[in-house]
Order: sequence, then structure tokens, then C-alpha cells
Amino acid sequence: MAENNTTNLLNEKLKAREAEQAKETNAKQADEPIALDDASRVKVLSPARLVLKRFLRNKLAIVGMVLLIALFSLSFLGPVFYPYGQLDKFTTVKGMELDYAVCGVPSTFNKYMLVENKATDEFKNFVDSFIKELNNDEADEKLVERMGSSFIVTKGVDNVYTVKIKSAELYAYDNIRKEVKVGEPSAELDAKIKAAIENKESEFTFEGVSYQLVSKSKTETGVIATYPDGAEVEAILATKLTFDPVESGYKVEDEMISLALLNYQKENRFTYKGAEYTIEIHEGGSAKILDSTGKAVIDILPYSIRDISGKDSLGGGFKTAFAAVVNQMEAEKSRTGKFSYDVPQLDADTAQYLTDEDGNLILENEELAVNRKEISGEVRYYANYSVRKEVYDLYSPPSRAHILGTDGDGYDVLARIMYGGRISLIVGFVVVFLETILGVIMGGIAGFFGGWVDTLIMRLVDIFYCIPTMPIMIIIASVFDKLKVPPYERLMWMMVILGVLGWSGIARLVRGQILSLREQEFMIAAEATGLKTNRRIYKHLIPNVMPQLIVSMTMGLGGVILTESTLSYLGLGVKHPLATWGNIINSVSSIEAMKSYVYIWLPVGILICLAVIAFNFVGDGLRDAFDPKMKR
Amino acid sequence: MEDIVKDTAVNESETKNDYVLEVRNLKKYFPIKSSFLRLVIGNVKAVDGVSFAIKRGTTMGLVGESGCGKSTVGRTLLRLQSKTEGEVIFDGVDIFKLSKKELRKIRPKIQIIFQDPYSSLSPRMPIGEIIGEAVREHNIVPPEEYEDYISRIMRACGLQEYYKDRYPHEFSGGQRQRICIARALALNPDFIVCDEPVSALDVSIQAQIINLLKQLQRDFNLTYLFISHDLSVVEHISDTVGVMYLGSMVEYSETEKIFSNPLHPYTKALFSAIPVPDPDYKMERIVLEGSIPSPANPPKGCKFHTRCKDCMKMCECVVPNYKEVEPGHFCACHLYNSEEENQAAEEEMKKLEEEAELANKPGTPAAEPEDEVVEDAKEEEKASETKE
Repeated sequence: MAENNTTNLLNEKLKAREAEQAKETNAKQADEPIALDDASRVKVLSPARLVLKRFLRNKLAIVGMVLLIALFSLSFLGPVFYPYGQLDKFTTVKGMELDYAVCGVPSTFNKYMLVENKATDEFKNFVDSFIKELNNDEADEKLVERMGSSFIVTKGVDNVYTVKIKSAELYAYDNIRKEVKVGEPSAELDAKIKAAIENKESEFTFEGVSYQLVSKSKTETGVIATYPDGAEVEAILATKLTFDPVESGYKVEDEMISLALLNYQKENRFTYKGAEYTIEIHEGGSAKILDSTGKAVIDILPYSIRDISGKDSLGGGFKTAFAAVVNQMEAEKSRTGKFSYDVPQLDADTAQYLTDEDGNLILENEELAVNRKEISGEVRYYANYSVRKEVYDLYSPPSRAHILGTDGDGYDVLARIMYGGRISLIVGFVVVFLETILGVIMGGIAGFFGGWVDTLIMRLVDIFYCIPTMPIMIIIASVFDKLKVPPYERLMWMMVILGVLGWSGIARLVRGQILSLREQEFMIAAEATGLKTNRRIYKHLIPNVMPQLIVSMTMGLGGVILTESTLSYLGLGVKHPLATWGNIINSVSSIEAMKSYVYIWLPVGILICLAVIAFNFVGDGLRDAFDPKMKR
Repeated sequence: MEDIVKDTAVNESETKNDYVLEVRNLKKYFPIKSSFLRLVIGNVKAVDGVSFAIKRGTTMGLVGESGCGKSTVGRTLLRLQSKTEGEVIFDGVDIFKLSKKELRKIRPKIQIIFQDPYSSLSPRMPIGEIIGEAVREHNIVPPEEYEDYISRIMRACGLQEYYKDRYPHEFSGGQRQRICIARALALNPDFIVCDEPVSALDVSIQAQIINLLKQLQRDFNLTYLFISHDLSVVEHISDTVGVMYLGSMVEYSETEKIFSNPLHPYTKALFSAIPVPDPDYKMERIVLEGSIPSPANPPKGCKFHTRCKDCMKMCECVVPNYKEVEPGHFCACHLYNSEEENQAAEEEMKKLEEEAELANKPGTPAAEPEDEVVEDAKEEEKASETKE
């Protein structure tokens, strides 16, 4: 109360005097002209507006500010409007021609044995060359002799060849045991031969066939049968026709094929295991075997058709269709043809056939192209269809879809620049604020209180000056790698570490300033007016440190952005999937890559430069604006 | 009834607050520390036992040559730095016995105006804030009157109201000193230490500031301690004047008395140097020989004896008492000793001589020191303890 009374006394006195003066001046004003008043001429701006005004006068600062606004809106608003995220991997569909099936005239003949014995077995391997000889001679029939046996090779229709035995060693007998060693003679013949051996006859005739006994060794006697002309026995059938079951699972017996071949183009009818079959001949050399109900059982084709992957058993329908196209192409002598059929689908990633839940292949109607190719003299027809395979769009140059192209992981570079800018700029700010807060607190305490506190803090600063940032970051990065710290957490830690490592410079600056300011008389006056200590520090000391602080902060911002970029570029900072400006450049780290993919690193590099320059410009502008002694 | 009560209250307060400030035997030593281990190897005795008292509404001038401890007195009695010894009693309260909180409360009552108006204003604060900051802090006026109050204070100190938002660098030295005065005045102080407030200003501005100070004193019943080495200014503004030499007060009296009849040889020499604005006037200057001794190692006895033209033998070893030579006129000089004092001084001198002889004879045990000497030693011990 007492204080208030005295206070009011001074105030009241002042008021009274003002009132008196006002009266006097009122009285005077009637006579005197209005004096030119300074107050009306000078427009008084608030300190903040003064700073703003001075700042806005600085052209470079404006340039910096505009740059910063542009960078910030690119980083923070850009992603809102940009359709791609930083982790969207882009793929392109690449059409891949997949060879599905191959069709060719078999180079060798399939052989079906009607008579199986030593002679035919030996002879089987020579059939191909005999047929070749026959074709070279352009004859329909030829007698060939091999190893004491003679055969007649006959050309039939559609590359069906019949090999008949003229004379051949069909049987062999054991002399001592007197039993058959090779061959299956009928009981009567067996008896005849045994008798002939017993009688040591060298020749006999049985049922029009003459037999010769040849002593091969002491214990073995060979029997050579020679058939009369026109009564030769059909022993081997050779053909290039293929027999495929219409329905998979149907077993095609060799014997049945033999029967079919025997009747092919002749009677076109045969009986096998008590069932009647008919052969239906189609144009182009293909045929079908129908069972007694008229249902197609076996396809007969002049070509061998197989799938290339080996994972698919081609259906008879496909083969027929393919063969028809090949026939047509053969007829037209064209090199390409096409047809459509249901073919299995491929998985893009694994290049495996897609299957449904039951393990069946998923079929889809596709247009197949047929190409004729000659490989070492053999004519082959390849049926292929295009498979659209999705692959990552790596290092794609700038295009309408990706303005700056894509990087080595298929990410959109522009999107990553935007998101990376967020992190780079935020890291800059957070680190600098951490540094500054730490630095101002420590420097302020050291400078203001002095004594052993000052000594302690300054030694601490010395220690922090000695810590080499790079090796420390490398060590910490490796520790983080080991601990598998998630990227965002790692980012936080990196900011904290950079802040903790960087405060010493600011602390030293603040301390130096405060040491000089502390001894100034206005600080003593502030103490004399009874201001609290923290108010003296924050209202009198810190504002006087502000210009240097702001300059060091803004310069520091640029520096921290550079440090962060360097660390990220080296792979020590923010880890890969998270984009920063540093590790965008990292995706083209080799010189070759840098040469080839300028569109990836150049824009980021320019942005980093611009950010640092802009921060420095703004820092300079702010320093000038904060300095009230600036004349401009 | 009410009137009577008021009157008595006023009377009481007047008698109680007759002296706003009393300084008793104030000492301020600055320790000299060795560069190695920071051991105290000596003291700079900047203020060495100064006593004075200032009546409410008066101005005390404090003069002396450079380095004699005037400013240190000013700052120490505001407790801007610690004391070594002594008491500073403001309004009946020993300032050095207050807790920090209490000190902060009493701060507005004692203000200081500095010599350099350039460094005494925070360069990053607008004038209004410089003046009003502490006003808000101490709730000197209710918040709704704050702005008007600052304007009034500024006008009272001859500043324009619209200066409020300007920064110190926009002002001339005189204006800045007015701002300093306004800052001090705004806290409604009882007592202002003016630490050479005009020595940095040119003469015409000096006059303005002096007159402003005088006017404010008249209007608001302020008490000043006016520290200056400019004797003319001190003569003009002061009611009483104290003269300091090497940390000690050598003479104190009312202004008229001391200017018309200086007693101490130092005061005489000092006053003889006052320039007189008359070209024909022949100045009879008393030129002092030598320079001021180091306050770290002041001479024994009377500190002034090294330069005093009236130096006697006893001056060299016996410290003169600071005593009232004439009513209201204090002086510390052996010239004005009474008979008894002279005798006491001579006795002390003899003892000291004997001691010195004994000390010079090696091997003989030191004579038992006299009581006074023992007391001195004890005092010294005390002093050293307080220092530590």
C-alpha cells in the first residue's frame, strides 16, 4: 500500500503538471502558428516491421526468400498434387515373344517292329540310310543286303516305308543242347530244324521257305531263312507320321500303330484287340483313327510337334490346328502364318505357367504367330505368342509420365526429390534449432555466470570441437546398421547427433558476445533496475547476440543440408527407401552412371545448391535487417 | 483528528528518514590474483573506509581525481558489486544484509545514471521499452496507465513522446543521457547515484542535463549522490561535498563551506585548479608533485603524505583521524589535530619506531606488542577473513 501511495504521488505530480502545461499551451495556441511537429512527419514503425522493411529492401534476401518459398512449396505442397509417392516403384510392360511350340518334319523315322529278332534288331539301325538311298535312287523298291541278310525296302504313301525280309538269319540253335537260342520258330519248324541239325543237313525247304543251316561255331548253328519272291515277310515299318492320342491319358500301343500303318491308305480299317478301328484320312497328310463308335482316338500327323518349355503336354487339338497352318504354309510357301488357340498363361515375374487352384493350367485364347525357320538345313515352324511381362522401369529417361525419369530402383525421380526435400529441409531446421538451443543455453550460462562454470563449459566445447563428425557418423551408422534401426528412427537419431555435435560453435559465439556485453553499462543498469536474471539474459543479452546468431543459424542451415546430403550420399545418413537429396544422388554413384543418367543427379544437385545459397542470402538479409545501425 | 494523525506520521517519517543513505566505513578491495593457481597475492584498496550520510532531498557531490574510488563507492553502495567491509544503510535498511529477493524489491528506490550514455542503453531495445521495462517488472503503475506514465516521464525528462519506438542509436549524447535519467526516474526512486553523468557531454548539454537533474530534484524530492571530477559542476549542484583521495574520504562539508574554506591540503590543491572564466585572473595553482600512489600499495600513515607540502613526520606513519574540525566540516589531517590527538599520535609513532628498531636487530626476540597493535593485527585478520 505504501508503495502504491508513493508511486501515485509521482504519477499525480506529473499529471498535474501536464494539465497546467496543457492549459498554457492552449492559451498560447490561439496566438502562435502550429509548429512543425516531428511526430507528424516521422512515421514510427514497430521494431518488427522495421526489421521486415529493412529485410524487404535487400534484393538478394528477396531472391533467397523466393527461392526458399519455391523449395518449400515444391517439397511440402508438391507431393499433394503430384500423383506419385516416393516409394512407388514403376514398371513397364515389355512384350515378350514366347516360343510356345515347335513343329518340324522329323529327321529320323519312327520304326515299328513287326518281326523282332536278331536280324531285324541289327537292321533297324540302318533303315534310315536305306530309305535315303532309296530316295536318292528315286526307286520305289530296293533290295539291300547287310551282314549276310537281305531285305527289301518299299516306299509307301506319306513316307511310310515297309521293310521286308528276303533272307535273314532268323534263328540260332545250340548244337549240344539242341534247343533254340535265338528266335521263336513254330513247333513244326523247330522240329524240322532240329532234325536237319541231327541229320547234318545243310538245307531244307519248309512251307515254300528255304532254310540254310550255317555252323557258326562248334556249339552254335545259325538258320538263315530265304523267302521266295513275292512271299517276303514284312518286318519293320518306318514312318515320319506321328501318332498322338486325342485325349491325354489314352495309351497308344506300338502294335496298334503297326496295324494302322499296315492298313494306312489301303483298307483304312483294322481290328485290334477285338475292336474295329477306321482311319479317316484328311487333307494335308493328317489322319485320325476312329474307334467303332466313330470317336476320334488318335491323331496321325505328318509332323512332330512339341512344346518348347517341356512343361506342357500339347493337346491333340492344338497339334491338329498347328499342323493345318503348317500345311497351308507349306502349300503357299509363306514364311509366316497365324492361328488362335487356347494357350496357357505365363506369370510375369517367375516366367512360370499360371495354374488355378486345382493345379490345372489357366488357358486363354491367344493369337499365335507361326514362323518358318531353317536351322542347319532342317525346317522348323515355331508358334509363338506375345507375353506381356512387367519389369521395373529402371533409369527411364524423362518422359511425360515421369518428368525427370526414374532412378535405379524404378522410383519416380521428381517424387523422390519432393519427398527428399521435405526430409533435407526438416533435417536442416531441426538440427540447427537443436544446435542453437544447446549453444545459446550453454554459451549463455558460460558467458553470463563466468568463473568455473565458464571454464567447465568451454572445456566441454573444446572437447566437442575435437570430435571428428565423419568418423563418428560412420561408427554410429554401422551401429545402426547392426541394430537394424528403422529408417525414420534413424533419421531422428541422426538429427539429434548432428545437433549435439554442432552446438559448440554457437556456444562459443554466444559466450564471446555475452562476455563483452555483460560488462557494458546497460547490463549494470539493468541490474540496478532490479530486473530478474533470466529477463536480463533473454531481453538484454540475447537480442544483442541475435544478428550473429541468426547469421550463424542460416549459414548453419545450408551447412547442415550439405552435411546431411553428404552423409546420405555416403549411405551413412538417411537409409535408402526414405528419400533425401543426398541418397537420390547416391543412386548414380559411379562415374559411368553419372555420365549416363544426368537427369537424375543434376536436378537434385541444383536444388541442394539453391537451398544453401538461398539460406545464405536470407541469413545475410536478416543480419542486415536486425542491425539497427544499418543506414539503408 | 485525522489531520493530527497525518502530521505526526509525516513528522515521524521525516525524523526517521532524515538521512536517506548512510555509509559507514565502506571498504571495497579488489583481490590481485597470481596468474598461477589464482592465489590472492594482494588487494587493490579501491575504497578504504569511507563514511558519509546524505539527507533526503539533497545532493552530495563526491569529487576526487581519477582512480580515487569515486565510482566504486557509487557502485558498491548500490550493491552492484560486493563490499569488503562496512555498512550501507538505505532508509534504515542495510542493503548488504538483504536477501536477493528483498534486494530486487528495493532496487527501484536506488537508481544510477552512468557516465557513458552510449554504452548504458541496450542497442536493441526501443526507448519506450528501455524506460518502461522495469516499471512493468515492479508494477510501479497499474497496467492501464503504463503507456501514459511512460509518456509523462519522457516529457518530464525533455523527451518527445514519439521517441518511444526509436532505438538508442538514433539519439544524440544529451538525449541519451535524458533517456538514462528517464529510466532512473520512471522507477520513482528516492535516491539516484549520478556517476559522472555529464562528463561525456559538451558544455552546453552539460548545463541542460544539470538543470534537468536539479529540476527533477525540486519536483520529485530526489536525493543525489553526484560523482564528478568537475568541481564547477559539483559546486553548482551539490549541497554537500565529499573529497576522496586514494579510496579514503579526506574532507566533507557543505558546499559553501568547503569551497570558501578548504581545510585539507589535497582539497586546497584540487580547488586551486578550478578554472576561472576571467582571462586577467592570475591563478594561484598549488601544483602537486608526483602522481597518485598505487591503491594496491598505499603509503603508510596519511595516504597523501607523499605529495603533501605540509607533510610532518607523524604524517608518514600515523593515520590521521577523520573528525569534525568545524561544525559540519569533517577532515582527515594531522594539521587540525587537538593536543590529545597529537600526543596519542606521537606515542604511537614512538612505538612504531621502537618496533622497527627491534625488527632491525636480528636474533633478539620481538618485544611484546602493545594492545593497540594487537588490536590492529586482529582487525587485519578479520579483514582477510571477510575477504576470503
